[in-house]
This record gives sequence, structure tokens and C-alpha cells, in this order.
Amino acid sequence: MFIGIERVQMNRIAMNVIQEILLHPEEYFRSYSLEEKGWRLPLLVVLCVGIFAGIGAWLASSMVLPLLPPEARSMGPLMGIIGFLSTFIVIFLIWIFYTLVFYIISHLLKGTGSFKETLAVVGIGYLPQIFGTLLTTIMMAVYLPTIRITSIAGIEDAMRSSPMVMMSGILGLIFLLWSANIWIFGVAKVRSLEKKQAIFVVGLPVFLYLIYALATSFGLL
Amino acid sequence: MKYIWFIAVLLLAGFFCVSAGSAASGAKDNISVTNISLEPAVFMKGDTGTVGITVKNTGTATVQIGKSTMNGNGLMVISGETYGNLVNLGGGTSYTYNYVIRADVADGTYYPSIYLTFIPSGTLSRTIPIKVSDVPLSLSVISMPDTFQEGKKAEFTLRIGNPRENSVNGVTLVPEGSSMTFSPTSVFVGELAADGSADVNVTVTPTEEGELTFRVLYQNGLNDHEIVRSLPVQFGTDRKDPVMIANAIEVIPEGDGIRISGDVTNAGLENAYSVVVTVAPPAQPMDPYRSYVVGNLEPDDFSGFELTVQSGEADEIEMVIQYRDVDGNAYESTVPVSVLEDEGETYAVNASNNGLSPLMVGVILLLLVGVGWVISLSWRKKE
Repeated sequence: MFIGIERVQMNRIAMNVIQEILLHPEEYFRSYSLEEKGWRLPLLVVLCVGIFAGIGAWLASSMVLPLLPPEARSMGPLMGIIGFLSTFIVIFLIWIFYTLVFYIISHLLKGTGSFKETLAVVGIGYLPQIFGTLLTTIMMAVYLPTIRITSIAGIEDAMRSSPMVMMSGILGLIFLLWSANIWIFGVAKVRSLEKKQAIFVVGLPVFLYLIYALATSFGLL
Repeated sequence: MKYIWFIAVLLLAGFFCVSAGSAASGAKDNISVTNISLEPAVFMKGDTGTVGITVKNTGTATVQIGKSTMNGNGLMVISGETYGNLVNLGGGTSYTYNYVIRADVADGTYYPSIYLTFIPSGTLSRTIPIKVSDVPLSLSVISMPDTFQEGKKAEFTLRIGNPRENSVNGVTLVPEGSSMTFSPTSVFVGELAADGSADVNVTVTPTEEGELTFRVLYQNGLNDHEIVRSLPVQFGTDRKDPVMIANAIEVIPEGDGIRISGDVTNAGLENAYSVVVTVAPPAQPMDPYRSYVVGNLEPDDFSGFELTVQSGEADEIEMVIQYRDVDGNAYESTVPVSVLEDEGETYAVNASNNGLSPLMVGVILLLLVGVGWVISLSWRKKE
């Protein structure tokens, strides 16, 4: 009974933390210290994103299965596992890559603070993308069984023109913007930058990625 | 007195004559038949053979044989019954009379006899038992396939038996039949002893139905004989042959053609080799899977396949499964595949690629507004 009450309280605290990060990131990061908060939250957030994105990749690999030669179809489960693991790892690499970019740009703007702290706040900033990847994965689970790809070229067509893929891409960008908003406050705090500088540090790479994503979606690249 | 001398001379002359006659009679007693040879040992009906009678003078004095005569006693003496030349048979020497006889008679034992007439007097006769038996060689099939198939090797094991009392020579088995090939084309067995047998293996490959004949040629003495056994060759299905079954066939439109995929199973009892799946005209195979080589399929084994085909305007195409048996004989089985069945799926896919639906746009806008509101909220000072 006592343990139950304690768990409810813990959950309530966690919900408050999530709410504060999503709605009032400035307030959350104002008193942020890696030593105090630890690695648990950023790791948990990126882990969740990695798992959901990995499940999506697993589902996407099922699209390719009918195109494989019959003798290679027994490799289907293995392909799913490879898809899951590679996406999971890529999510972590992207986390490090974003952090590195933010760290370098903020360093040019005379930012101070450690790479570890930057890595932690970028990880926390991934929080909205948990919803994004979860939503995308649910959409794929619903939509993919209705698609029948008939050729390798068909995959490209599906990726380019499928409404599901288009929508998941747009959702990814929306949730990326939300993450970017959190990163601004986090980077400003841990790199001791002004908000305008943090907007530039986070905004520039995100904006460039946004341009790239839109250009590829509309077939400009 | 004169008469006394005349009588005495006559008695003396008579004595000498009697003495001389006694000497001649004693010499012919030394003549005996020492050997009788028959070729063949047992005649078949219609056979011509030789009878050799060897006489020997076991004495020391020369004996004159004026003539010898053969009495066939049912058998035909075709070399002439009388052997007319004078034979001086010295002491310790032999002479052989050869007669050629023909046995145009029913089975049985015949007793021709030979008469020797001596000079100045005396005869010697001897009967010679000669068997005539028209029992031929036997030919039996020890093993053969249950069914024949066009172009498929059929292995025969045959046994040639000799139930005769004498051996036969030059035994040769010759398989014959139109539209058939044989390996070997003939088998030479050679001499076959009495009550002996020889097994012979022959491989027959028929290309048409017909009659298969095995001819056994042999010689009894110098006489050619043969026996013939015929078997009908009618094509059928071997119960153990590989049987190809195609299952789970899927037809998916792809580009200008279609992609056919499925499983092929060996439902027979023997291995299928070099299994290839392809399509028959008018359908044209196209890259990347013009034909699909499955390879070997053991009984109850299966393998997937995939074909890419330009189907043209046909509603149905013929898928061909080619395979071989252990001897390399080629087989084909045809599976009709309907092309129309799955076209609807393609259109369904195409129909779904019409961009974002209003609902999706609505959801996106809602999310965009929501996230925008949240972001704007984060930039406000918390009260």
C-alpha cells in the first residue's frame, strides 16, 4: 500500500517533469545541472525514440520482403532485426551528431560548458520525438499492410508518393521543431549563451536539415 | 596209281586254299570300330550333321576293305550311302568313314548302321544311336521396368538357358524393334553348355510405342537356329517418377509485364534434377527472371521460384516446369496461370497514391497549431 502511494507520487513527479520540459523548457533548464539530474532522463528519452524508430524500420523492411528472391525470403526476420538495430544505433549517432554540431557552433560563439552537458540537454530535447516516432510507427503499422510493392522501383515510388510516408515526414519535421525549441533553452543554459545565440546555434542546422528534407520530399534533390 | 597222285595234288591244293582262307578270315577279325563321333551330339529336327566311324586294324596283317555302306534307318544319308573306294588298312592303322546325315524326323533315338565289306570276304556291321531332339534354347525376362516412357531408358535382364542335352555354340542375343535404340546392340554369349544359362543386360530406349523383339541366335553343330521373344512396348506413367506441382502462385503486375512467384514441389517418389521454371510462348520472359533454375528436388522437397514475363494481351499464360530424371530424360509439366486475377491489386496501390487526404492535412494542421502553441507557450514567462 505504502509502495503503491510512493509509485503514484513518483509518476506524478515524472509527469510534472515531462510537462515542464515540453511546455516550459526555460523553467526546467534554469536550474539544470547534469551532476544533479544525471544521465537517466536523456538516456531514457533517446532509448524510447530509438525503440519506436527501430520498430518502424522493422515494419518497413516487411515491404521489401516480397521483392526478394524466394530462397532469400527466409531471411525476412533477420532483415527486420538488422533494420531495427541499425535504426536504433543511428538514432544514438544522430543524437551525438546534433550535439557535436551545436557544440561546435556554440564554441564559435564563445560558448562555454562541457560536451557532456550539451549531450544531456540534447537528449532531453528529444522528448517530443518520442510522440513523433510513436505516431509514425502506429501509422506504418496501419498503412504498410495495405501497400503492395511490386518492384525495387516501386519502393522508391512508394517512399516518394505514399501519403503515409509524406505525412510521417511532415510529422517528423513538426516534432523536430518542437525538439529544437527545447534544445534552444537547454543549449543556452549549458553553453552559457544568450537566447539569440542559442537560436542561431540550434536554428541553423535544424533549418538546413528542414530545407534538405523538404527538397528531397519534393524531388528537388 | 595215276589217280592217286591226282587226288593227292587236289587235297594239297585244297589244303593250301583252306589255309589261305583261314588266314584271310583271321585278319578281318582284327578290324574293330574304335570311335564314333557325332556333330552335333544331339540333332535337332532338320539338322544336318556328320557321323564319323573310325575303324582300326589291331592286327599286323593288312586288311582290304572293299566298301562301306551306311543305312540311315530313318535318317537321310545325304553324302551317299556307299563309301566305294578300296581301303588298305595296314596293321595298327585306323581309318575314319565320315557320313553326312540329315535329321528330318520327329524327336527320338535313331539307329543307323554301317556295313564294312572286306576283300576277299567278310563283313562288319555296327549300329550308331543318334538322338534327335527339337528342344530349343529358352529365353526368360528376369527383370524389366513396370512401364515404358518415351525416350526413357528401360533396363532388361534376360536369361538364356540351354535345356538341351548337348552344348550349343555361337549364342548371340540381338534386340530388335523399330523406333528403339539398344545398348548394346547385340550380346555375344558364345558356347552354352547343356543345362547351362547366361544372364544378359540390355538397355532399351523407345521413342515410339511398338514391339520389342529379343532374338537369340545359336548354332547346333553347323546348323543355325534362333528363338524369338516379343514384348509390346506401350508408354505409361512410372509410378515412381518425379511429379512437379506448383503451389501458392502469385501474379503481380510489374512495369510492362508481370511477376509470377510461387512454390514448386516434387510430389513423386524419385529425385527430379535440373528443375527449371519458365513460360511457354506466346508469353515472353523478360529480365531479371527469364527462367528460374530450382536445381535438384528430392521427393517431397519444394522450392520457391520467381519469373518476370511480358504477358502481352493474354488472359492466361502457360508456365512450364522442366525437369530430368536420374537418367537425364527430360520432362515437362505445364501449369496455366491466370494473369487477370491480381490486376485489381495494382490499381488499388495506385489509387492509394493520390497524395494526402483531407483528413491527413487536417491532422497535420492540428498538430502544427498545437506544437506552435506549445512553443509560443514556452517563450512566455511562467506566472
